[in-house]
Amino acid sequence: MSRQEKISWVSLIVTVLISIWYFAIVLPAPGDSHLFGPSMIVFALILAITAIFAAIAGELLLRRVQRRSGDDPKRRERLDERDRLINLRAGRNAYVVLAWSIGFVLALIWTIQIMRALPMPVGPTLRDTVLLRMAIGPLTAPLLAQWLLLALTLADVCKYVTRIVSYRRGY
Amino acid sequence: MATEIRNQIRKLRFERGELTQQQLADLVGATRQTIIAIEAGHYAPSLELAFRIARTFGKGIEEVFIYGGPP
Repeated sequence: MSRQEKISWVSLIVTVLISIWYFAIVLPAPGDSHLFGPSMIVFALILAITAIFAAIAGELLLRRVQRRSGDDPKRRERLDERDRLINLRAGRNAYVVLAWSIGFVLALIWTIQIMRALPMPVGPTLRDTVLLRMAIGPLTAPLLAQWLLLALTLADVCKYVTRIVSYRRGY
Repeated sequence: MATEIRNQIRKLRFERGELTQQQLADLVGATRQTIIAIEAGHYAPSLELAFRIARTFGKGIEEVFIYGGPP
């Protein structure tokens, strides 16, 4: 396994874990007023610091794996043409996912506007959460930011998965 | 995902005193993983890299790489 592939694995795992942690706390939270509040800033800082430490831990783990496999951990592989092609393909796929995700959010905003203009029957009362507000609006700036964050996360995950698949199956 | 381009790199490496994949990679300015992928037919190198590999073995490009696809 090349160093670039190992880096992609570490990045994928860190991105997925940090995203799950973030969305598992934010989405079920009540209302959307807290999303730009001081507690959110502290939470975002904790997440950022955790991500930095996870990246450092990943790098140390990679060096250890390299040492065990007999490679010199100080030997840094430079990117060659295949790495650059794989990065380009991963970037293109991530861009497509991001574009589709943003298209989905725009369609959602449009649908919510139409649905809210129609007379709706009164249904069971749902618990007022960030997730519910993201789904049925009205979409405020903090809620749109959550959608954008979700789209960026999906694009990032797609980038790392494309890299891993390209290194595994060949390019 | 195999390419339509076969190659003689493995044979040529052994003919040249068991040149390792890492040594070949260093000589042509690629990574060892790229040489592994080319040898296994998983990656078709650029024309420039193909020329560099052929020149390393003192061969012409068509002696190292064989195109087996449709015309």
